[in-house]
Amino acid sequence: MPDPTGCIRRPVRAALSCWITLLLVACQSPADPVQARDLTLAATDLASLASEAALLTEQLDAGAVTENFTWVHQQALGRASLDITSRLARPVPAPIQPTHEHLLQLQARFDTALERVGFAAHDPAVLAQLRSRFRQIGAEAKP
Amino acid sequence: MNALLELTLGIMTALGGFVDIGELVFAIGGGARFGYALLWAVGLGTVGIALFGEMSGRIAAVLQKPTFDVVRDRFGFWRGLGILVASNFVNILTCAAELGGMAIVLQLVFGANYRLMLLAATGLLMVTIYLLPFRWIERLFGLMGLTLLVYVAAAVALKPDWGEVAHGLIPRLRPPGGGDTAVYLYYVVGLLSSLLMPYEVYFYSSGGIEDHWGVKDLSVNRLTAGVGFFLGGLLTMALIVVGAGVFLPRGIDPQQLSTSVLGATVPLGKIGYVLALLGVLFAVGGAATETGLSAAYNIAQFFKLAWGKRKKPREVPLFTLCWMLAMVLGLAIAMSGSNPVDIVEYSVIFAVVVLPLTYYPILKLANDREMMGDHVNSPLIRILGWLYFGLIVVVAIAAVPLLVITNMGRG
Repeated sequence: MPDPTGCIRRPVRAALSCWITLLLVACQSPADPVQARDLTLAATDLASLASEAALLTEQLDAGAVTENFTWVHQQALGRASLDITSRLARPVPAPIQPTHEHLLQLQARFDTALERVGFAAHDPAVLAQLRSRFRQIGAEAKP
Repeated sequence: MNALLELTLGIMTALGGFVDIGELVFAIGGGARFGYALLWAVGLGTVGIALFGEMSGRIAAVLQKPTFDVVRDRFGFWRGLGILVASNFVNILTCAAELGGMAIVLQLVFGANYRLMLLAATGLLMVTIYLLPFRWIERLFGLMGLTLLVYVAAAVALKPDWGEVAHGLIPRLRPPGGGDTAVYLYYVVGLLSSLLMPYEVYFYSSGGIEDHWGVKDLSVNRLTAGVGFFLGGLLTMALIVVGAGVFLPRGIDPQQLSTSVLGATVPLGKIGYVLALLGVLFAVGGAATETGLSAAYNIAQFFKLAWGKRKKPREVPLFTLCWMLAMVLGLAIAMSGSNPVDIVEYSVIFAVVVLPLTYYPILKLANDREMMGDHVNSPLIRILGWLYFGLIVVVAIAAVPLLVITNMGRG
């Protein structure tokens, strides 16, 4: 007589094994080198952050958001930028080193400009300057 | 007149309480990535939650059985206990994300320390839940959550191509313009899951009993679930339109809750900013309340303990302790400093794995003529129910692999 519980347990075991395999595949060792794809994703994320920072200066300039909002959002963007740095802090193969370096330089320029946003709340000229800077960083970062 | 007022309030409450941080994240993020191409998923999910919400409300009204009572009856003690643990794990994770969301909004308003705002938000919610009767908790968060309708105004103000918007209602399994299919499907799963979150039916059915629903209230249940959830689905669609109109053209992938506020600010200026902050605060606050209470409802109903906000706290000490503990655990997770957007992505994806175990007993019981009598599912609802259950199972299987393959939707 067929064992009905066995018929249920086998697919469940198979499904669990697949899931565990996938989870293990997702684990990344710090010794794994940076891939070209990682740089593309990081560049896309940086372009997004730069665009968002430009939008923030726009809304601050228009008086639509408060200084408290600006400070908090600026810090959130800063943490997101830090996350990009930590993702790229792994061995870099020679062929993609120039791209990696360029990306880190762009990011440093982004972080420097971002730090100034909160202080420029009442200075439209500086906000316009920062906006232009963010747009340029975003354009250069786009993969 | 009283009955009409009650019904209107019920519908408005369902609408205002529909959106939580999960919908905010997946809808605005989905719009920013794929334009209007995910609107159909919202439509599909809204019909699903209205269907199962109505069923769970009907069961509560006819049999006076809330959802977790049904789960235990159908699955037995040990399997039911497994479902209880899994469901409450998701409830507490979601609670943590919602509390984190509240703290972020308070931080945006006051510029204060995040962890201090977390403590303030949790304390405020616990006092509110302790002091207010159930109906007033529902109304407070539901009606104040209506300020989220600012996103509907924002969507209209953006003057989208309505033809293209309508095109987004046509189901598709690949994104337009050759985007990443796996990421697109991740957002489909995320949207469906955020719309069908288990805590919504736990809270809805328990709320029916808290409100003393009986057979005479079946039409109220139908209208609240049907009209209220339908309007909530429209609000979620508006979030996608805002994501597509504000963030997609600028190449912004919104990963912060504060970014979602900008979605209403850009088209509507200062008034959009203020209403969006208010709406998000009450939407996530309401969801934190629902998840905390749902965790307590589940435990109390499973172990047949006395429960209910309709009773005084000293009459239901274990139930009271359970929801307080759920909120404290949520607070502890949020205190880790993880981005609430990341926490909610995990909770939404893991919730979808629990979904079949929540909806199966509801469907079986609502289809049972012996138990439900004349109030059993009609043939149409029966067919729709099984179709949706099939969809939920497929989505549950795909959820975790998609989470891993797409690196939480980042590609």
